[in-house]
Amino acid sequence: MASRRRMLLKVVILGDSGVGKTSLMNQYVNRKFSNQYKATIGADFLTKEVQFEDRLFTLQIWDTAGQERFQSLGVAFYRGADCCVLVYDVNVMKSFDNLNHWREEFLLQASPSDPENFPFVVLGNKIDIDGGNSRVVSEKKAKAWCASKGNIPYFETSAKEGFNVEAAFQCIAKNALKNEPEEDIYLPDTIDVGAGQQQRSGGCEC
Amino acid sequence: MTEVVVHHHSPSPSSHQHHHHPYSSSPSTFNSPTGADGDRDLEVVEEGGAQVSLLEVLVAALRKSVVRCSVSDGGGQEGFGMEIGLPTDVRHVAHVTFDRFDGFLGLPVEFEPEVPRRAPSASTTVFGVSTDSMQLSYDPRGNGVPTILLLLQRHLYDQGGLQAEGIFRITADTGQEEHVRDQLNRGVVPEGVDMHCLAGLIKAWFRELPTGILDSLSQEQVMQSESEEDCVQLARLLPPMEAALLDWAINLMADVVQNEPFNKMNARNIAVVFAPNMTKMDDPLTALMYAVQVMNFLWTLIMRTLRGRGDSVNVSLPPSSSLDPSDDIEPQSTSFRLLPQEARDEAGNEEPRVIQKYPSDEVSGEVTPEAAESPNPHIHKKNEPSSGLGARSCPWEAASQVIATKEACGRGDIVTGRQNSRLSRQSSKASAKRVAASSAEKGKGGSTILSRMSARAEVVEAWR
Repeated sequence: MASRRRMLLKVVILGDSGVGKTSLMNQYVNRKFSNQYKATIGADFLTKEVQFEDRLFTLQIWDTAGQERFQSLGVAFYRGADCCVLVYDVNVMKSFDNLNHWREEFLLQASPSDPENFPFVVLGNKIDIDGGNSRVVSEKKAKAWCASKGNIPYFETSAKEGFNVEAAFQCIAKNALKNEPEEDIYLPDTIDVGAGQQQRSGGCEC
Repeated sequence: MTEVVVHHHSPSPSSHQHHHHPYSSSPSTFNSPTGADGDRDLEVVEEGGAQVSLLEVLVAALRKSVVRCSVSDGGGQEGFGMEIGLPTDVRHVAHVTFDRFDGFLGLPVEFEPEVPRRAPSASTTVFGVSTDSMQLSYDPRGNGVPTILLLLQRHLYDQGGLQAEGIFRITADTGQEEHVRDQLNRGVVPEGVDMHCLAGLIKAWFRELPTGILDSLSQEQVMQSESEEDCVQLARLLPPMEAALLDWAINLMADVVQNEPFNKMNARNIAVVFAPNMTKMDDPLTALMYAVQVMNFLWTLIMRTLRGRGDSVNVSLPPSSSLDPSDDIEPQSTSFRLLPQEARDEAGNEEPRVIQKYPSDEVSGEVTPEAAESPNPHIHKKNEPSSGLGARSCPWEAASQVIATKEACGRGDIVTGRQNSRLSRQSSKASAKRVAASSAEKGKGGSTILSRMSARAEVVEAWR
């Protein structure tokens, strides 16, 4: 049964407003892209089951609002994350410049036990725009930054075309998994006391 | 009374003469040319009598200018007080007031080079201070709002900011922002500023107020304001200054929405990005939940304003460039009070494509795949008559579930073991799913109530 046991991996997606965080998540989870321009309020999250080496995992992907006001809510959003995905728009220089800010903010707020080795993954999104002619951040530059921050894996993606999204999230899942302490795997899934209490306190089903 | 006194180190009768026009008029001191001087020491003397707080602030502002003069004169020496000799030849030069609409009044001409360079405020900054000390100007609608906002707005509009994609949503370059803030505190909007920076500063201005402009309204009031009339009534409860600011902001947002084909910001989007800045909350969870309510409130007022401008409601429809057919699901009749839940049912789409019609209508789009796959019970129930009482009671039950979930989150915080926190993560996730599911089952109830709950469920989703 050990192979059927599900584990929850929490992934947080961070980055400036409008770089495509929600779209990347929707492309990965639902394989859909919407042209609709839609700001995120607070945070949404989706889950997706992934299989890796005979084991099933639930990837819980937190999509946070890029809005300034919600940046102060970081602690609550970031806590317990197993992997942090930093997204920028290859066509907007400042969204790349701000990666540093997002990374530091995450490490500060989430305060992981081993910040040096905490798994990040960087995604350069929207490479489809204008056939790549409007991009201002070169792959080389992005990779150099990633290398300087402890060899962060880097992917160039297009949430619109679905390009490289699956590969990126596979890497994200793998890195999140690496961050998991071994003993968690043996957690019996039948003991779910919290859920039972939750149901009782939830009130009627009207 | 407070008097401003000019004190000369070496008084000579001739030097007085050019000061004998104390009541020089100073219209729009804010725009006066700047100039440098530093030949005199200034001293502000208070003489008995009742103090008006505004004047105290003015005195403080003038004291600061004393510091500046002194520093520039004193070659960097510390303790400027030491440089000022005993007062001799003290005389009353001018009575200066700070008028919220006209700025400093009665200011001697020779002071103008110093004062107009300061913030259009009796404080030294235009951010994070009470509106009580801000200089006001009238907007075209007759709202008296801080001059700085009108300046930012004018520059934003002049630069074509209304047509910029994602205006008010896109993060500004933080490096530039500090510089611009600095300039704004001197009363200058520097040229060549990124329009996203200007928009970001307008949001920041609201966010940094000592109290949010909607803070005088209780959360319950905002939550219970479901209809447009409710929201309008609620807005009337605001104090005059806050009411003016809200009206200004709503009209700014309506301006943005009217340019949606260019900027992609529909009423929901602009309400989303403004909502978190309108209230001040310490607890992040409460702030997040409340932001959804405020978003609904703003959205309602924006839509009302747009209709008032003679535009049909479809100003908020997506731009024609949108090829996704599900974007056009909205029936053309579309009274904008259309029941959002029904609208989505007709769409038969799990994506909340009618968001632009009703901002809180998000629950199914945001739920986990498992929940989304479950049949939508309200598809078949939507035409059933709702029991008013039952429908009424639902929000409170939903609320209690939210609170329960919140408690579950709290438990997750307390337990330290990693395994335990994993457990509670799962449990709160389960309960949130239940909330979402149960709110979906309530589709037969009143639409507005349901959408309120959807909003709650959305929040819960975020916090599982």
